[in-house]
Amino acid sequence: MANNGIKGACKSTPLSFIAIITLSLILTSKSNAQNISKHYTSSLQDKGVLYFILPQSGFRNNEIKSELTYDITYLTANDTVTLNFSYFDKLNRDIDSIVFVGGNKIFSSRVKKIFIETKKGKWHYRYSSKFSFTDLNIFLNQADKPKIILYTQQGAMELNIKAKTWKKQSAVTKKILTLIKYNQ
Amino acid sequence: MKKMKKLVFAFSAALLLSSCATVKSPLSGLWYTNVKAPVAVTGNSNSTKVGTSQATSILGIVATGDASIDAAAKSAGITKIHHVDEESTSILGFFAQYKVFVYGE
Repeated sequence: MANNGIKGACKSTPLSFIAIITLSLILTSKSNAQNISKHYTSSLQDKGVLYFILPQSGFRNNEIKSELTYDITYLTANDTVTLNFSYFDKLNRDIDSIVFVGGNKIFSSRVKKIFIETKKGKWHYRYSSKFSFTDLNIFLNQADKPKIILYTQQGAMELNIKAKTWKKQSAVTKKILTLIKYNQ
Repeated sequence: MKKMKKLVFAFSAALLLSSCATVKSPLSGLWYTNVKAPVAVTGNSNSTKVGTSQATSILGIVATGDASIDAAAKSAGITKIHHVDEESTSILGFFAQYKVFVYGE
């Protein structure tokens, strides 16, 4: 009986075999939608563990076609997280501060310039900001879709994210922050 | 219909004539690769910053990006490097990505 089953499997065409493997790979990748291991790194240091959440994108201003990506670094010995961000815009800007608005909560930080350069015809602004670990947790747990406001010498710029993108992004970041809390 | 056939032919020809998207990695899988590995360690102690850079290849036809240590260090304002890691990813030879992580202060 078992032999018949094996013979049957061997008789099936290679094409269907490949199709089954491809399908199983797709299903596996879908079921691991919350697989956070590829979204962060951790490194053991003298003063604790250094976590790095890889760059996340999705915040855009469709009117002026600008976009922002950010990454988060957190050393467990500290109370603050470092949020480095890249902002791409066609116009010259002088960024003063970054504000996260989520529901009725507002978190702001002054920014420190890392570098400014041009990339693909746009200005690439790279800045660093600091937020408290607690505030970041509160922000990620807001039900409403958040927005980022950049305050510059030339005025304020609002960057929005699609609800679906934010749902995925915040779920991954929340899971990483939970993992950090468990290891503290 | 003829247009569709031409498109399929062009796409197939591009696929056959080009090599697969490959990535530098100590170990590689035919179907899927996701490997992290060390690149370098220095005598500097402690890290408080992490920077990353990456390059991507699609179908082995187009490859773009700056996956240099310099770009990764610059992205986080790192002036003293502690160690450097790399991460290689490839899927069925269609997509390949190489990431560099620089730790330092």
